[in-house]
Amino acid sequence: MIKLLKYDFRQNMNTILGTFAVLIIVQIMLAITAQVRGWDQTLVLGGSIALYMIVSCSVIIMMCKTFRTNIMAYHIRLLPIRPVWMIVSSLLLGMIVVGGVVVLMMIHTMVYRENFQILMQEVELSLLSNKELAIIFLRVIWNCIVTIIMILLAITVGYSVQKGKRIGIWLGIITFFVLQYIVSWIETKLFYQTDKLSLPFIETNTNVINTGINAEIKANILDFPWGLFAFELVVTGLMIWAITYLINKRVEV
Amino acid sequence: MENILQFQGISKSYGSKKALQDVTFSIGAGKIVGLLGTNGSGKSTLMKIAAGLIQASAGTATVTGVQVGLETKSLVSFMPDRPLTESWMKVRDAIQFYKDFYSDFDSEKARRMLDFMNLNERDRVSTLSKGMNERLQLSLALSRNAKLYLLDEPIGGVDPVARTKILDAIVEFYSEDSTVIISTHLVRDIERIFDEVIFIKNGSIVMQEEVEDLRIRHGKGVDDMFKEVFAE
Repeated sequence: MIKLLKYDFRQNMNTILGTFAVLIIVQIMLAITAQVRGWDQTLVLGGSIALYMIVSCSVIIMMCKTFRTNIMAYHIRLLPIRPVWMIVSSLLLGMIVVGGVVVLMMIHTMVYRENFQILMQEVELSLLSNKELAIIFLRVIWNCIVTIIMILLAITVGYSVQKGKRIGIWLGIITFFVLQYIVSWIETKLFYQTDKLSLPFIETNTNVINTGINAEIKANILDFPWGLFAFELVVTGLMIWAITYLINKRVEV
Repeated sequence: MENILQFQGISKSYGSKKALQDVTFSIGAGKIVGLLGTNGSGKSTLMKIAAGLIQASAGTATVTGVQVGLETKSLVSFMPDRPLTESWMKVRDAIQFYKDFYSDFDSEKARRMLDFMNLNERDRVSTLSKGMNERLQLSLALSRNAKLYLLDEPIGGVDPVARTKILDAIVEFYSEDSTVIISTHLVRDIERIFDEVIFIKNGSIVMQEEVEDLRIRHGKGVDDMFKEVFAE
């Protein structure tokens, strides 16, 4: 699997390096321009975060393209490796690159820590402990992994159709939305006590006021949703099994 | 003696089109076999099933008695009709790729083949001509010590000089206790190296004979037999 990851990296090296270079250049230009023209630092922070989000989204696209290339490439499909490693390799590729984006963000924060501290005074995160923040962070990561595996399954379903490329694409898209809906519906029925759209251990209250937005997040660690997590673990396992089965039996190069 | 490759009742359909119909044959070890047929006769489909790239609609295929699948990919070296390298690779990266994933890959043999084929390790794969690319693909395929080599149209679309070079390389470098199956419709250039031939027409096997028996029984060479079988 590490060998496959190595070649996935080599395959995408130009794209990764180019994206990072553009990101760094644009962030520097944004900071310098904001300083020279005296822009509102809140807007600059928002723009900066938006750039990091855009790059993170492009990483997800890169992961999906890499997976798609691997399942349709002769030289990869001829390898004596289990199809599950194609999934793991694509996921790890994305996670490592996003890790690089996070490191860049942290360096950026340190360089502009004075501005960042002034801005962070507007945001009260003191209600959440480090442990709670870590759990929320891990929860977000896990949700992203589940969603990406759903996308990979949709891609695989699309390429399992032999009738035509266009039909396959639409089938893949429909598969993703249907799967999302079904899983969300089951989770809501089994694990959510209220009709509010909220996570079982995170409650959000948002008020828009004159000078900004007041958002309150409460994380009740004592009520960690083990049942929900176990359900999602089973769903993820089934999706990985389905991807492997389809690659072995239905996806033809 | 155990058969290297065995097809039993293999059929393959793409929608309403039947690519292979009830194909049954077996091939023993240590032979160079020609899989001969016109364009669209089912040669590539047959090879892809044997290599584990596609699934048959019906029937079973085995390599050394093992059903075609993950395990047989380590036993079969397949050279399809398209490159098995990525555009960013240099020749040495392609060698390293094979070395990384195939435990039976012989780096020393690969280097000797690259010298024989006049290929430079520092060349970019994307800059190689079609003929040089074919030589590289063949070098990669034959540098493995596989039980079964499948070469799909190895001399298609290359000049006569490159064709001779490729055929000489096949004879020089293949392992003699392995089996080589070569698909082609360019019979005259390649018949000299065949021990056995299989004729495939419209997805069905119409003849499987040793080349010597063909001459003794029918009094014809492979090329003449090909013209007779596939005459329109």
